[in-house]
Amino acid sequence: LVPLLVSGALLPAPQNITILSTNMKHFLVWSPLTVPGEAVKYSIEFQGEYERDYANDSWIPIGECTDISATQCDITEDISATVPYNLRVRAAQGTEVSRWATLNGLFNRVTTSLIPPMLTVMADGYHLLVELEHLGPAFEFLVLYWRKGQENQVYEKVVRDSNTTVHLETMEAGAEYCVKAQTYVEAINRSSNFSQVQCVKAAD
Amino acid sequence: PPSGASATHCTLPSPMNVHFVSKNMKNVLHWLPPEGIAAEKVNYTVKYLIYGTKKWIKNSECKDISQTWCDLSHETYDHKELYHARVKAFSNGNCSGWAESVRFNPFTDTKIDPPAFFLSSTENSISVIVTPPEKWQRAPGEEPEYLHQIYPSLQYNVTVFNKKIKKRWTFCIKNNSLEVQQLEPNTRYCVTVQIYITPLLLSGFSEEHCIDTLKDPTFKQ
Amino acid sequence: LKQLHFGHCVVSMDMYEIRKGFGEIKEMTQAQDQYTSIRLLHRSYSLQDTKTEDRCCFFHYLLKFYLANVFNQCQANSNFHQRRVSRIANNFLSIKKELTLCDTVTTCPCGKEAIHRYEQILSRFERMESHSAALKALGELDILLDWIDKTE
Repeated sequence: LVPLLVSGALLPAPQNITILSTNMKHFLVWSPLTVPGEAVKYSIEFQGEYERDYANDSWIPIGECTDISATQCDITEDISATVPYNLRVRAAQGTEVSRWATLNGLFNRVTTSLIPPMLTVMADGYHLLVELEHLGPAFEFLVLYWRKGQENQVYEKVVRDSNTTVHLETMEAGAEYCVKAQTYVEAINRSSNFSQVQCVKAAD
Repeated sequence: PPSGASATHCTLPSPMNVHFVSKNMKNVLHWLPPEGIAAEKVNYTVKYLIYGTKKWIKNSECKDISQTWCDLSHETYDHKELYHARVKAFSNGNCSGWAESVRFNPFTDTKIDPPAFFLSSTENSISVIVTPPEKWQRAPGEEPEYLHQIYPSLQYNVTVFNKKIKKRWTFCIKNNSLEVQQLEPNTRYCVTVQIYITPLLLSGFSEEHCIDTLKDPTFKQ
Repeated sequence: LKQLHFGHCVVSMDMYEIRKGFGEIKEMTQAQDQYTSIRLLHRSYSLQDTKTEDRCCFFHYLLKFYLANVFNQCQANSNFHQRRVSRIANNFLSIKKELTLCDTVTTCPCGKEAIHRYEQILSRFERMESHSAALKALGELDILLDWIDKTE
């Protein structure tokens, strides 16, 4: 439902404000205002639990999300603690400014959805290698690997900086090894589901 | 101050950009000459202060000097303290006000040099032994203090590049040695090493050193 | 992430987020602190050298001190500064909440040493004009973070 402005009425506040949060990247999204005349600009403010408890319920503007035309903005930089945050948006057209519209309910980054990581498993001669996608400093990867047929003996390796090809193991000639991985975010103490299992064979 | 300039009335512009350049806690103060004055005509005097104390301390080796740096490693050796330093310029009987550095915290503000390491190889393995990086030493004979004692979370990222198949692998090790086995004989491998403490405190990668795995004696060309 | 163990209570601190936030305002904050002869978090009161049994209480005091007396006193001179202080403050609050969940009566006993150390810091703080004191305390955050990093 996109609010339509009847001329002369006050600029309506943005609606349908929601948070899209995946892999610790948080975007605030809302519906565009359809109003005749100048372009509509939007601004976002946030309020952490600290601002509510210790700083007189103050709100803090997000510079990068002030007077923007888009109807979404990346607020990851400011959702930087594992506490509940309040978020609000308002519209402006020329000198006219709408009421603040506040996100329905508080947002805590602990609820972000963690996607199983993309990984590429390779055998280089006798060497078991894995390449993982780079998700930023908040992420670690728990990599599990085992020799096919010896599923009861699973090895693990925690990988932090995932920008390179990581050496997991020196394999036995001709043996097949399988690998799967999950992400782990220490700041919220949560993990993703495991990726698909990938198996490769060592040189003979 | 030198003769001619009264202690209270200095009109020279001050030195600029006074800052510490620190590598493995070798802490050298640097600055730029005052604006608009020929660099060769200016001398400097440096003082430093341990944050939280009142006294600005002279450094005898940096009194009336012409260079624009001063090694304060001795004076700032205790990395549990924080420091300020300041510089005054003198020229033709005139002087400047003090120009001060921002607060310097050796523990967090030092940069980490890439480590040295030693390579050896057999027919199908190479071994990497990293020289444990040391804090800057006051005197050559002094017992070294190792960075892993100062930063317990210190670890090494080792990359091994197989020149034949152009593939690079990364190993992350806690102690300072790594052996990579099951390699191809008679192949060149190139290695670099990085010190990693935190995402905000890490060295660059070292220079690349290469070594060949030995020829397989049983393999007839 | 740094984990502090106080008895069976484990408190985790996102040191990267806090140090990154502080690193971006450190120079401007410390440059405004003219009183270089005063150090609030004196090394003789360091957290890592506090008796193990007193560490939790002393740490709890320091968290409450920063939350109540420092962060909101530092009128941010820019949106950039305000957002960095907010990041640090909300992380401190998250840690304090974790600590409070730990049944502080048993895991965070307040012995004489903890109280004495905190009082020393508070008395130095209160001897200064309030805004200057808050600014100094904020500028000394790297000292507190170093203490935490060095606390086994």
